[in-house]
Amino acid sequence: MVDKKKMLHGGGFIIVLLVIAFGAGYVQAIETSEGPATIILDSIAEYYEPVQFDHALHIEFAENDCAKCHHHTIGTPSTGTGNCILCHKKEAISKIIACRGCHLSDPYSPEGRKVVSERGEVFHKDKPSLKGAYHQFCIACHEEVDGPFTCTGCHERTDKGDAFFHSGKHAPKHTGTPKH
Amino acid sequence: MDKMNRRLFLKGGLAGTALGALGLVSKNASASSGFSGYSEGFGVLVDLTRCIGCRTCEAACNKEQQLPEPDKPFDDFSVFDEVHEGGQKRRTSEKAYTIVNKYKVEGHDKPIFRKVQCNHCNEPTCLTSCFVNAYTKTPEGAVTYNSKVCVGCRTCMIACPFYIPAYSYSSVLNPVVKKCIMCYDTRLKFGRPPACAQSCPRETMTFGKRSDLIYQGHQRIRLNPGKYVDHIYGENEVGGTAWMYLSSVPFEDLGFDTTLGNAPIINNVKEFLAIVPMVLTIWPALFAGFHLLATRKNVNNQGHESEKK
Repeated sequence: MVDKKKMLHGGGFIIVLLVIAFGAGYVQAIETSEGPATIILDSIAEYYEPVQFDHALHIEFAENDCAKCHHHTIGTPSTGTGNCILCHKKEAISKIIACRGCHLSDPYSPEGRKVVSERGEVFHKDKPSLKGAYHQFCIACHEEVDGPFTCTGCHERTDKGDAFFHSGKHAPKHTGTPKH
Repeated sequence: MDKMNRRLFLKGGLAGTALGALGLVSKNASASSGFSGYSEGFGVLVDLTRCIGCRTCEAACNKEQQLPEPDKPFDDFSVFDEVHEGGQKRRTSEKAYTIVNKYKVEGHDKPIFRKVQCNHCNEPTCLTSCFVNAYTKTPEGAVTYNSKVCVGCRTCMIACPFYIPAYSYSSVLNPVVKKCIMCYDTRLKFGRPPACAQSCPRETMTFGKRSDLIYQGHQRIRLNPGKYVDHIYGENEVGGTAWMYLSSVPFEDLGFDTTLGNAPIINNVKEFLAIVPMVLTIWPALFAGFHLLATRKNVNNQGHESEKK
C-alpha cells in the first residue's frame, strides 16, 4: 500500500510538472469512456500536496453508478444533497460534469464573494465551495466504507502545512509546560 | 407649621426623584430591548454535524492572530482527552482563542465535536460589565477589545455567559484580557471571513450576514428532516449572538448552556443601573439643599438670639 502510494506520488509529481508546463489545472491522464482514470485535485493545494484521485478505482467502488458522486449530472439524480437536476434538467448547466464546474474553488476571493452574495435562490444559497464539497462528500463515504479517514490519508502534507500545524520538524520544542 | 412644611417638601422631593428614576428606566429599557444586532452585521453558522475534529481552525487561528507556540502540535488529538480543573474540557485561553472539544453522546457511535470561541453577542455582557469601556461591538458584528484602557479587573471574565475571555496571567508587567475578535483587524473589517471559518476543510462554518445565516440555518433544518435538532443556538440566546450553532444532538449534551434565556443579560440589572447615576449626581445636591433649608432656621434663630443678648 505504502509502496504503491509512493509510486503514485512520484508519478504524480511528474504529472504536476506537466500541468504547470502546459498551464492546465486538470489532468486527464487516460481518457476512457467513463471519464478520466486519474484526476489531480490541486486547485486549492497549499498546506497539502495535490490529491492523486484514482477515478477508475472509484468507478469500481461505485459499481459504475456515476450518480453516486456526480449527484446531479450523470445517471439518475440522487435524492439526497443533489437536487439540482430537478430544476436544471433541460439546461446547459446539466452538462457540467466536473465538481469544479459548479463548486467555487475560492468562494472567499472578492470575485467569489460577489458570486456567493448574489445567490438569492433557495437552493443555491447553501451550496458548498469546492473544498467543502470534497471534504463533506468524500469523508462521509470514506467513513461508511472504511476508506482513508485522516487528512494525510488522502493528501501528503507539505512543509508549509507542517509549519501551519506546528507538526513534524516544526513541533513545539518545549514539553511539559504547566497548564492553567 | 415649619415642621409640617418641611415634611411635605421632603416627600415631594423624594417622589420627584423616584419619578425621574422611573422615567429614565423605562426610556432606557425601551431603547435597548428591541436591539437585535446591527442589521448589516456578519456572523458565522457552525454546523456541528460537519465537524470532524481536525483542529485546522485552531491552527489557522494561531497563525492569523500570531499566538504563541501551542503546547502540542495541532495534529495531536490527545488534547481531546485532556481533563482540566473540575473535570472541565479544554477552554479558550491566552494561547488559543478557539478550541475544539470532543463529546461522546449516548446513542451515537461517532463522537461529536464542538468548536468554542467568542460568540460575539448582539448585546455583549463583557461590554456592559466593563467600566472603562474597553469593549466595542462593531457594526460588522465583532466584539473587539482595547487593551490600552483595560485596568485588568477581569469583571468581563465573570460576566461572560460562555466563559470566553481569558487573561494573560503569564505576563508579569502587562497582563491583559485575551479573546477572539473575529479577526476584526485583519479580515472582518474588509468583509472577509475569520481565518478559522475559511480554513475549515468541511465548511463547518458558513460566513455571511447574520440575517442570511438564520435563514440558511432554518433552511438546512427544513431540507434535512431528522438530521438536526430544530433549533439554532445563538439565534435568540442572550439576545442573539453573531456565531450560531446547528447540531444533530440536544445542545445540552455538548456542554451548551441552554438555561441562559433569550433576554440580554444586561436586562437583569438595567433597572438598578439606571438609578445609580441618579443617586450619585442628584442626591448629593438634593440633600445638601435639604440640609441647608433645614439648618437655615437655626442660623436665623441664632441670629435672633444674639440680637436679644
